[in-house]
Amino acid sequence: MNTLGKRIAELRRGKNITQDDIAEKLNVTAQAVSKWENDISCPDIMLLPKIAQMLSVTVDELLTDAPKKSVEFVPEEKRKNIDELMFRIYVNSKDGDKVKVNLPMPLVKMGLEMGVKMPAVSGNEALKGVDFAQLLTLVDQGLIGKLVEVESADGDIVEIVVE
Amino acid sequence: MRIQIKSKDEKNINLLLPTSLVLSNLTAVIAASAINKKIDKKDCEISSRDLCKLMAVMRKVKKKYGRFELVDIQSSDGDIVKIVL
Repeated sequence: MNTLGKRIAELRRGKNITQDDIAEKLNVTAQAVSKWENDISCPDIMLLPKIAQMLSVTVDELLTDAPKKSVEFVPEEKRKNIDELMFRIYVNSKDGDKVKVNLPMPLVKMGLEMGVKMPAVSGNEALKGVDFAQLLTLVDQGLIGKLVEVESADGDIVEIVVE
Repeated sequence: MRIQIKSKDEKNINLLLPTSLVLSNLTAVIAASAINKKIDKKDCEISSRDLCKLMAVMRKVKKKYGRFELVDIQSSDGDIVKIVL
């Protein structure tokens, strides 16, 4: 399971922010941020809303391991470069198995160019009908968040989140 | 690259592989031939050239994100498999 520190580190890298930037804005030292990210210590509870705001997530999303729930349309001026986005595939099987695959967007694009089909990546048949090229088009047009949620007949739940 | 396999019953495996070796073009060529032997060509056919391009993208990802968790699998039995770039 991802810890708070790991989530902060992952989100920070995703947004191309340095530990120094966070430290400066929160009025703490860069060493303190490093300690949070390495799970040596935790940020003060009063700092959580500010951290969440800086990382463009809610405090809930920062504290829990759950994928981002909503689909969001990002206007063109606020849109990040598509190559900086992350493609996350979550598979929760009925038996309790959990699979989490994190794919940076350039890797997904490359895979599609090569003709790799996603069931080959995740091993889950529920992804067979998902048109990944179409998903990339949606992302290109500014849609991010949980783009796909599939519940198979076996009870497996597959989610695809772009963030 | 780190491949971590934690099994509830058996010994844990922790493989630390030099990223420059894993993501090299030579590895790509070897991997492409191994993959094409194992995978049905109807599903996917990977050429060594494509895999070399993929490795280049992976190297950029590694450079950008540093320690990056690609895969995290937790089975209901308590087994854990993690692949960290």
